[in-house]
Order: sequence, then structure tokens, then C-alpha cells
Amino acid sequence: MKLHRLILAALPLLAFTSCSDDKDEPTAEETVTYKGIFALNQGNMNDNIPGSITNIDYEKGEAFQNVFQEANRRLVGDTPQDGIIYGSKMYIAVYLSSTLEIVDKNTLVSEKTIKLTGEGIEPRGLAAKDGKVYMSLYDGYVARLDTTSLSIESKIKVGPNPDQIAIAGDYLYVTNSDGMNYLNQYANGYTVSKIRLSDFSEEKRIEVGMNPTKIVSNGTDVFVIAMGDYTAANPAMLKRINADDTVEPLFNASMMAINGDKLYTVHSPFYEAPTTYSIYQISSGTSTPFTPSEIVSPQAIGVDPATGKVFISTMGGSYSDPCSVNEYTASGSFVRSYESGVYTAAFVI
Amino acid sequence: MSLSILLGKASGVRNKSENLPTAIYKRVFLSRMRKHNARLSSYIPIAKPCAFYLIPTILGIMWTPTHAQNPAHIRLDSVEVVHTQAVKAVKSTAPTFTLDEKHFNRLGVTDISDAMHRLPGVNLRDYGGLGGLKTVSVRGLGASHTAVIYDGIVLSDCQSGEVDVSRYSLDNVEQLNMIIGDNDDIFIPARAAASAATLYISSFKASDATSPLDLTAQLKVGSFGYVNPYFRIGRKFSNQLSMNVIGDYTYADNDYPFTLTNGDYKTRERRNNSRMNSGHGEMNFSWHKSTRSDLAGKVYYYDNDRQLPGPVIYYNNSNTESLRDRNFFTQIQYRSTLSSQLSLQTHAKFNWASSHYEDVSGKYPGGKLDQRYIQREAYASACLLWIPAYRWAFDYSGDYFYNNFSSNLPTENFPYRHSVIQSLTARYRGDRVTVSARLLGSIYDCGAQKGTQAADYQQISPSASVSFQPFGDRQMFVRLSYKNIFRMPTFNEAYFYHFGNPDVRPENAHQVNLGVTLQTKGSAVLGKGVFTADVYMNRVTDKIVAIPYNMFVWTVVNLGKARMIGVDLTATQPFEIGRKQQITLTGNYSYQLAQPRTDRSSSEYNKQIAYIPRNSGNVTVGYENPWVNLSVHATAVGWRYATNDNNPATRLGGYMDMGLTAYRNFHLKGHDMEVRGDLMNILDRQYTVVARYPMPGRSWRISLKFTL
Repeated sequence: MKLHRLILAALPLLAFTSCSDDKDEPTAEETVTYKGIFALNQGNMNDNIPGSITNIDYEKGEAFQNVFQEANRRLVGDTPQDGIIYGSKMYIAVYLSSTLEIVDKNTLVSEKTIKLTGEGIEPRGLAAKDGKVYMSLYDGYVARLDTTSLSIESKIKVGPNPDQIAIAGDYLYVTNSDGMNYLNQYANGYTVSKIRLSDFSEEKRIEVGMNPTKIVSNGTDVFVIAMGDYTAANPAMLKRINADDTVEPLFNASMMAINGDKLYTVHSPFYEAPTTYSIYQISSGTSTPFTPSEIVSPQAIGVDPATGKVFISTMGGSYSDPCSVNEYTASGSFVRSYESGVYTAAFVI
Repeated sequence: MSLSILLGKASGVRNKSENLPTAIYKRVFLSRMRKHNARLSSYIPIAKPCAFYLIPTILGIMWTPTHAQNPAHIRLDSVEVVHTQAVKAVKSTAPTFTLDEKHFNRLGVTDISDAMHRLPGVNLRDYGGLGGLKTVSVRGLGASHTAVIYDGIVLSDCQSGEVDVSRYSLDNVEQLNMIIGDNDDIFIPARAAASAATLYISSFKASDATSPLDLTAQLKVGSFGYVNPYFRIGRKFSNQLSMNVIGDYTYADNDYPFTLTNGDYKTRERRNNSRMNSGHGEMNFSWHKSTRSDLAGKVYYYDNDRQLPGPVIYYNNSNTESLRDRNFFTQIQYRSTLSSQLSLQTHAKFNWASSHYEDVSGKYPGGKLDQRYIQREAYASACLLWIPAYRWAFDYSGDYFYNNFSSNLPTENFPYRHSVIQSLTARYRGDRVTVSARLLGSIYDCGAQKGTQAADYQQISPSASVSFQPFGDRQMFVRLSYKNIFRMPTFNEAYFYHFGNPDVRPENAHQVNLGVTLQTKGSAVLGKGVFTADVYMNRVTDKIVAIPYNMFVWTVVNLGKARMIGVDLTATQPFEIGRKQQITLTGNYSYQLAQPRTDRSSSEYNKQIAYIPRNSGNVTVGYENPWVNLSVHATAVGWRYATNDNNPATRLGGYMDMGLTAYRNFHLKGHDMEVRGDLMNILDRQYTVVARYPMPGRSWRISLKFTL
């Protein structure tokens, strides 16, 4: 019976592999090279809308839909959650599909699909440094992948429910959200795991507040958002993790993107309250509100370090309608709006 | 409960990615495994309206649980009653569709969900395979507007409001009857009249026993590891007392293959984690105390321990969820003819239902999710029928029921509800016209041991129906009916953590139906045909909908308005083509224009409501002969959308599912045997009723039935 199950579990993979043999490999002439940024669209599984990737070539002012499918003639999967570009490749964590897609960063042609097995199978957040890609796995692990062999070297236990991750200096910071324990007020979370990159082991846990899910770093400074419990009593709070591991609360925010000395934040409360936006100067510790136009309901924010351009996705008519991605200058003035896919929840830049 | 799971998954959702859809699916899938009960009240024209005992019957009030609505000949004491479904179908003042035991073979019906395809205006939400949840919605109204009545008493589900009909095996069903709106059966519990549509499931009665010992044993086997033994033992102890015991067990691997389209690729996959292990036992007794009074009772237990395959996810076929549903109830019904003018029936029931959902994953606290939900109901009803004059009948029915709900969630509110429903009904039956009218008064008193209590509610709901025979002897009738009814918010909608809203009000539905029915006289070759055509309009106000605060936090509000305009056509025509040979052509067609009409500026406005097909229908050709009886049937369903705004990406294509049934009866040393074979989905079409839940392709089933 067990073997039987295993075979069943492996079937999609086998089927897929066998099918790849039949496929007409895209020829060099057909391969398209994409520029600009990418929007990861989670789709809406309930409504039968799979995940997709939109390319936004903002220099040309154009958006291209379903670019993963165009490049690979198949879908990226259900709920692509996070992505990074590192070296010549793009890594895409596909949460429900339990896969890590590794594709060429320019053509999006898949080089390898890693199907996660055993324990640690629900990819969530990504970060990279020194030839390694790190991936949090929502069922309690962080994995390290070697970018030469493109295989997972090891997994270490963190969590519960590690969400986003970031690297500063020689450390990896992992948010331990305990998000699945919402009925008990996320009681076993509240921390960020500080993991030494040198030997890939947890050095300590830093207490940061209820339900930390988002974390960013410019390589030096680390900012984390404790999302709270989505009520006005415990609103989402931005905090700074200092070099000495002390934690300093800043202000309410539920999304953020970092570019050098600038931290762009959005506070889009889950309870009834207006959405606010600000640009926080990290060195001076001052924050300036800004008002990006053309936003219905913000879903994700990203910034392109190359140009300083800021991107905010905003929902369409419903959660089965395509989102829009708005482009803003570094100071927050609206440039252009692009259509993306259904539920754009992350940018790959 | 389902909801819990909804939110269980959704919790992660909140942290951005656990996609709400997953969650919703769980809610949808899980929220429907519920329960039961009710009875049939049907029109039974009788040969000679004489004995006072029969007066209620003359008036079309066949109520007793002890006297089955057997289609052919029913013995009511010494009077032979001839009852044909056809007559009922054409004379009813509101649409009434019946399938009985005989039809199940003749039409090649394989299970209750298949039976639903043979009824017009009915949408079966089917999550695929034997273990897949199946709920019934009628004429574009939500499934919680359909009451399911098992042997006289409403099956309730206070948590999700929807009944999973896949629980009820056809082997144990004598008759299925769908009534849309209120028809002229008036001697029914008030609660049985408290829904927009009512599906009556009538099982074999203890009193069906004809000999001192009846035994029916059946074994079914089929594709995907399906095995289903069934037995029924009936014992007639005396002319007064009879009893039966029923048991069945179903095992199925349910690991059927399906085709997955992924971009340019099509792969052959299998459903995984879908084993089902289910058993059901029942004991019925009937005490025919005198010609004037009967007592009948039932003890019922159901246990289904199944794995859940979940929705199809690209690149990921593993799932570890399981769900165990258990249901126990006991009910008793007593009816008595008090005098030539007065009859009484009383019902009582106690119901207990538990759902236990489990999932294993490192992402859950403690490595697993273990959610247990229990609901209980106590129910009592009394109906008094008064027949003051030949053509007039009046009924007063009063029902009381108490529901409570508990779970092992730390956020549980422990809600409860007292309900009192009363109805006052009058009917006049003339030579050419039948009119009935009802006022239904409902009082709901809601509470919860913890947290905010849901709002109490009271309402008077009117309904009326009329049937008119315009042309002399011709069996042609024009019918018109109106019904206003509402459904209470379920406990999930009122209380569920971060989702329920205690202030949510009931959802209101207005139904108007206009129909023409005809039974032809037939000739030597052409048997008596029955044709019905109905047009209807339903309006729903205060529709209860879940709206997203954002992708992660949803809450329930009264937001929607919806309108359904539709046409239901049915036809049955037998042809006598030779000695002992008959071909029966049966068909139905439904057109449903079901539109959200909440907000003109919304992208949903006037689109087609999710999962309601514009066009659907079924055609069956049955060939009965002395050799092997055959039935070929095809169900066709047009395009649908998975979303109310009809997003093109969510369009589900139409499909046709065709089946073939062959059966034959043998007499072996005085015993009856029946062998039946079914080929389902013979065209091997891959389709889904619910997005991401593929239906099985070609499959087979063989059954062998033995009657002592």
C-alpha cells in the first residue's frame, strides 16, 4: 500500500517527465528575451485560475502576460509565492505546487524544476548569497540550495511557519510567524531566527512581535513586519532589527520594499481604516508620507534598484480579475499602469 | 466546520500566500456532509372514496410512513389504491417530479446524484467520485434552499445548511420526489414547507414486509475498487407489527484516472488520497395499531471515514486530509384518524452528527490539524388535518426544534437555536380546480454560550398554488404557484471565527411558477405520455454572500440580489412495440438564466451565477423486453463559469455524460434474482462539475440482487 501511494505521489512527476520528452523544444529563434521586472500572480485556485508571471518592460511601457507559459509551454503552477533573480537565473517558489522553478532570468526557459519531498515541502520565501539560494518552507524548514549543482544541500528546522526571509551580512533572518496557529494568537511565533550562513545553523531567535511575516534587508539593515492578528487591537507593525539584535518598533506598515537607504512602506489594514504610504529614510530615520494615485487596494510593492522605480500592484474588480501594476518614480509620482495577472502578490526584480 | 477549515487554511492565507482558494474549497467541500430526514406526502387518487379513513387520501394526503407511496398498487386496508406517478405529476399545483424504485432500473439510474440529473431545474454540485460531496440546488437557488426529507422528517444541517445526498444509497430508496415551491399536499409538518424546494427520500418501510421473513441481499462491484454489499431483512411478526433491518457497507479506492491539461501538455493522472470506507445501518418498525392509527419508528446510523483528494493542484498530487462523518438519529411518527373530519400526525426525532477533519503537515501546530464538530437536534411536530366538507381541507402544523453546535476549536462560540415553525393551510379541491394556500410563521431564537449572539428572527411567509383543468376530460392542467420563503443563516455564516457575522439576516426567496401539464390518452402503440412545461421566476433578496475584506479576510453580509428566469420541460412517452416489449422515451430540458443583480456597476451584474448552466438536459431511452432490459441515457450540461463575474478564464466547458444499463430478472426456485450492469460515461469524456474536481471517465458496475 505504501509503495502504491508513493507511486501515486510520484505520478504527476513521472507523467510530466515523460511528457517533456514529447515536447517540441523551443528553438533559439522562438526564445524571447524579457527586460524589466516580473510580477508573480498567485491566481485563484478556487476559481480555477492558476498562477502566472507577467513581464513588465517599463522602459518600453509594455506588459507581457503569461511569460512563463510562453517560454515553457506549461504553467508555472498554483500560487507562485516569491521569486528572486540571482546570477543568471530566476528562482520561483511555487507554494501549493510544492516546487521550485529555476529558469533563465532573461528567457524564463526552465532549467530545472525541483519537486520538494519529505519534510519541508511548502516553499515560501527566497534569498541568495555566495552561490547559495535559501528558501523558507512553511512546514517548518529553511533549505539551502547550491546554485552550481542546482540541488538542495540541506534543510534546517525553523518556524513554526517560517515566512519571508532576508540576508544581512553573514546572517539569514527567517520570520517565524506561527501563522497556522491563529486560533491561539500565533503563540509559538513572535520571533525571527538568525541563522549563520557560514555553517548554516541557527544562532539565536530574536523576539519581534506577533505574527512576523515580512522581512527585508539592503544587505546591512533589517526590517521586519509583525502582522499582528489583522484586527485594530494588534495592527501590523514595522520594526527594525539592529546590528546588536535589539528590536526597535517604527510605525504601522503591512508591506514594504527596500532600495538602499529608502524603505517604501504601505499600511493597508485588514480592518476598516485608510491605507497609508510612506518613504522612510533609513539613515536619518525620517519618514515622509506619499500618495500614490490609481490604487484600489494594494497587494504588493516592489522597487527596482537599477532605476529606483517603485511598483505597486492593485486589485481588479474581484479576486478572479487581473490586477494592475502601477509604476511610480522613486519619489512616488505615478508614471503608468500595466495589466498583470490574477492576484499579483510579489515582484521579482 | 468546513469553514473552520476554510479559515484553517486561510489563516496562512492571511500571511499572504496560503491561497484563499484552497481555503474556500475546503469550506465548500467539507461543509456539506450533513444529514437528514423527512417524508413523503403525495397525491394518491383512489378508486373509491368511501371509507372515512380514506378521506385524507382522497384529498391527496397520503401521509403515513407505514404506507409507502408504492407506485403500483398500494393496499390500504381492504381498498386497492391505484397510484400513478403520472397522475401526480400532472395534477400537482406546483412542479412535482418523482422517481421510484422501478424507474431506477428502467432509466438506468446509478445513484442519487445520477437521479438528480433526471429531474429538471436541478443542479447537482458534484466533487467527483464516490466520496465526493454532492449537494442539490434547485432553479438557481443555493443548495441551502433545498430541504432534504428522509422518511418524513427534514434532515438538518445547522452548520453548513446543505445536505450531502451522496450519503443515501439508492438501494434503500423506494422513491425520490422533488417538489418545487408548495403544492397541494397539505398534511405535512410545518418545517417540510419551510424551504424553496424539497427533496423527499423515502426508504423501504418496515410495513413493506409481505411475508413472515423477507430478505434482500445485494452485492455491487465496480471500477476503482468499489465494493458495496447490502442487505435488508423484513419481518412481519403479526398483522400489526413489522420490522426491518438494513445494512450496507461501501469501500472504494476512488483513485480514478483523469486527464490534466497543463499548457500545451496533457497528462494522465490519478486521483490520490480518496479511499472511502462507509457503512450505514437502519432499523425500522411499524405498528399498525388499528385501521385508524399507525406508529412507525426508525433508528439510523451512518459512518463514513474517507480520505479527501482535494482539488487538483498543478505538480502536486499529494494530500493527507481525511474526514470522518458520523450520524445517528432516531425518529418516531404516529398518525391517527381521530374522526371522520380530523386526523392527527406527530413526529419526533433526535439527531446527532459529528464531523472529524484531520490533516497532517509540519505547518500545523503540533504537526496536525484535528477539528471535531458536533451538532445535535431535537425535533417535535404535530399536524392536524380537518376536513369539514367534501371539497375542503385545512391543516395546522406546529414544529419545534432545538439545535446546538460544538467543536474543539478554541474560538468556538457554542451556538444554539430554538425554532418554532407553524403553518396554516387551506385547500379546496373542485372538479376542475384545486387551490391551496398556506401561511407559514417562523420564530427563531438564537444564542451562543460565548461571544456575540446571532439576531433572533420572525417572519410570516405566504404561499399559494392553483391547478386548473380547462378542457373537460382531457388530462391537461394549468398550474400557477407562488411561494415566499427564506433560509436562516447557518451557524458558519453567523458565528465562524473571523468569517461569520452575527448580524447577518436570512436570505429571502420569492418563487413564481406557471406551468402546463398533460397526460395523453395513448393508443395501442403509443402508451400514455406525460408532458410538463413550466416557466418560473425566482427573486432572491438579502442574499448571503461572503465578501473579501481583502484576499485573506472575508466576512458574511447580506448583499446580494439575484434573479432566476427559467424553463423546465419534461416528457415521458412509452411505446408498446410488441408482445412484452416497450420502449420508453424520457427527457428533460432546463434553461436557467440566473443573474446576480446586486449592483449595476459591478462586473457581476446580469452575468450568469457561478456554476449554474444556462442549458442542461437529459434523455433516456429504455427498452424493456423479455430478454435483457436496456437503458441508454445521456446528460448534457452547457457551459458554466466558476465565478459570478463570468471571468473567461473560469469558464467550464459543456459536457455530455452517457451511460448504458442492462438488467434482467430471473426466478430461481421461487426466488427473485436481478443482475444489472452499468457502463458509466461510455464516451470517456473528461469533465468537471466543480472546477479542479475532475469526474471519473469510463467506468463500470455490476450488481447482483437476490430476494428470498
